[in-house]
Amino acid sequence: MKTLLEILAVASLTYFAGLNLAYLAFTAIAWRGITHHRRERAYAGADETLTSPLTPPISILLPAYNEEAGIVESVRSLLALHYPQHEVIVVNDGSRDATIERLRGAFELVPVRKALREVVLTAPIRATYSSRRHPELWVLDKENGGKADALNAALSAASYPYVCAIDADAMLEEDALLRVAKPVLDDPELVAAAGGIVRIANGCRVEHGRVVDVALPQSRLATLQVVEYFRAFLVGRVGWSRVGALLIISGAFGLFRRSLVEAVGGWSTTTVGEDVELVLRLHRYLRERGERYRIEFVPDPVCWTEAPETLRVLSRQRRRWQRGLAEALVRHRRVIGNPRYGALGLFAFPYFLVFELLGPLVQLLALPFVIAAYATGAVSLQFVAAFLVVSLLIGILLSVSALALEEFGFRRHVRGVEAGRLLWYAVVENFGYRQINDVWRLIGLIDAIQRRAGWGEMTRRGLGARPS
Amino acid sequence: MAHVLAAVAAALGVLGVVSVCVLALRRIQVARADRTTREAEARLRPIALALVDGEPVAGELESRDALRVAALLSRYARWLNRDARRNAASFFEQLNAVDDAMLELRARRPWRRATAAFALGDMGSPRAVPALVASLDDPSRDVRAAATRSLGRLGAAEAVEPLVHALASGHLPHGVAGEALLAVGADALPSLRRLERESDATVRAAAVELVGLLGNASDAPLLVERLRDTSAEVRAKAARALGRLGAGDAASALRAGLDDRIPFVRAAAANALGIVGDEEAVPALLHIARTDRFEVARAAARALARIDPSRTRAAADESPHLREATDLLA
Repeated sequence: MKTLLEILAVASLTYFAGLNLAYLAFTAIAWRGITHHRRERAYAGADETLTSPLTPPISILLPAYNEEAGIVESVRSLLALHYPQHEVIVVNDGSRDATIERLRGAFELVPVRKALREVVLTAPIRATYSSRRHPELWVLDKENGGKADALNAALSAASYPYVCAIDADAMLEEDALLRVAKPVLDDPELVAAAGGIVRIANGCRVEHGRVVDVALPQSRLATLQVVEYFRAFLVGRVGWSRVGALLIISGAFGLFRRSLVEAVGGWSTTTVGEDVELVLRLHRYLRERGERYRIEFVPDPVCWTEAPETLRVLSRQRRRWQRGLAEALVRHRRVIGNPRYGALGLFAFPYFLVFELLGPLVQLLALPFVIAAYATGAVSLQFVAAFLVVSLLIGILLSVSALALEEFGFRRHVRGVEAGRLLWYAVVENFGYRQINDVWRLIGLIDAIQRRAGWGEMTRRGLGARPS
Repeated sequence: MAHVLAAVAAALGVLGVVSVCVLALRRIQVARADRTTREAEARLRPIALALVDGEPVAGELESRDALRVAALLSRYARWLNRDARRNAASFFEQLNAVDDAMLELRARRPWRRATAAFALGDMGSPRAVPALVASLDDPSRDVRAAATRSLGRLGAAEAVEPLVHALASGHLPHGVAGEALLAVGADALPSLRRLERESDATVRAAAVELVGLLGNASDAPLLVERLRDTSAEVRAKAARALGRLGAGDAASALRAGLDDRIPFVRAAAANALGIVGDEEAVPALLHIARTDRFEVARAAARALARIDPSRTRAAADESPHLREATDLLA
């Protein structure tokens, strides 16, 4: 028993060492990436080059389910984005509220029998509308089929060579579409997809569907997520993007070459992680054909979104994310360790399997193992204490590094007091928040094994109505 | 083992404290730098505005301030006429800022070379053109992009050929190169017309597209010739260019494009015929709108609706595309 516990304790230690080394490597890669990006901004002259008639037009796909509260503002802000040519395709996915009525009233919709490509089968479309006021706006009214199904319906109506999938509650900054399209403009033959950063809008002042003053949320839970998002986007996605193995483009804001999405069969309706799954399918499709391509993360186009402020809603979201990841990895398991898929098969998949998917299980079990090893005398009290301290300090250091990346690269939270608060939360999140997150993710993994269905509902407070 | 972990913990603790200190210092430093920049810009704005207005400006400036003035000028770029550019150029020449920046093009660090290449475009001195053209071969893509943008800003017609070749070889960011060539404007046309007959199809495609954006009716015959190009990409771009130029004389050649074996060429031809309003194309467009694949049929239906709304309405029930086009007419 003692030997077994010793082995488990050493295994836990090795796992933590591996995980933290990976994090440190990504932090270093991300530093390089953000530093380059920061310098590039000074001489890229993005705004003057991105308004060219050579810029490819983009179809924005906006699935909406029970979004009566904010849909009109969302659509207005998307129509007003700074981009030479884009259309907005809203899909009312069988909402049970007045989403479609709000749209009809606000945009003077008239029925137009739109020809649909029907590359991917979807739930029946009841009607299609065009706007008298905005010829670049289309609305599809369909029976409920879920987010992926709504995206597929919008895909079938898209006219332009690139599609940008956006969540109905998300708010893009005015130049976000231009910035996320930059890799496509630079290398149209090479870039298959690109994603931007998602930031948390809770606490920000929002006017007419736009964030006009960036501030931290009043809710502690939402503030913890701000730090968490910095880590995920500025370290994780920048890092994976630079090694050419980006697996996740957030469903809230992602740009794709339409012909490729059609070629791989659109968004999958049989997983809750349709965003991850689509990116994996694109990787596989292109790798298996031996094509040169890039799937990129661009850190400065911003999509603002509302974060959950209650544990109940947050737990559902995290379980869903973990379940989506599990489903995607299982579906594409043949990529794991397969050199044919390059960095994707040899690094990204094993990393996501071992550290992201199984991480919560190992991390939650590590502590009892170490304590049991101490109880049986397999390890000393000093060892247990040092192990805990090292784990916590590494967690804090990684969060602080993510804050530093934000500070050096973007500095969106300009108030000094907010920087201090973020620093405090970077410390605090290691005492409870990360552990409870691991519990939710573990439950998500169990959900995936049990094939539990459903997205769960996100209770929104509505950002536009909230004081700063 | 515990001792090792304790040592690691101590090191991490120190690293954490150092990181927090660096962050705090960075905040202070950035706040100061922002203030300095704001103050410097307020001080230098009159100089930049005088240059925009074409007024003579004399005086000594540090090289950092010269770069700031160049950056300020870039904000007013679209209001800079030829005189103002010349005025700005002689101002920066007097300060030796152009020579300094050209020297920086040989700096070891790519970001310094890129910054210098970018600034040279805003300084407006044509003397920088050869150095910038040479920078198109820089090993760093960022430097090449900045040099490209500056060559466009300087309206360097002599850079058109190297720019198009670099663009076609994927050596330059597509958007930046395209925008630079458009910025050169009509002066780029003689070179672009020559490039329409290059052996490399990618070069021809880029040249044809730009002629469509910069050219005029006199370019139609050359573009019509390109409708028979061996490359489908070139044929499609030629059709689009003819549509943009509204080249009615090219209608019969565009009608032939409706029979092209490549769908996107047929779609481009249909679209162009809609723009030039060729009534003779109506039967062929009607046929395509009924029978061809999605993208082509849609382009044909839309073209038909532009040329002959009543025929479109009459045929509304014959295809989903004609139905959509009819509903949009309403």
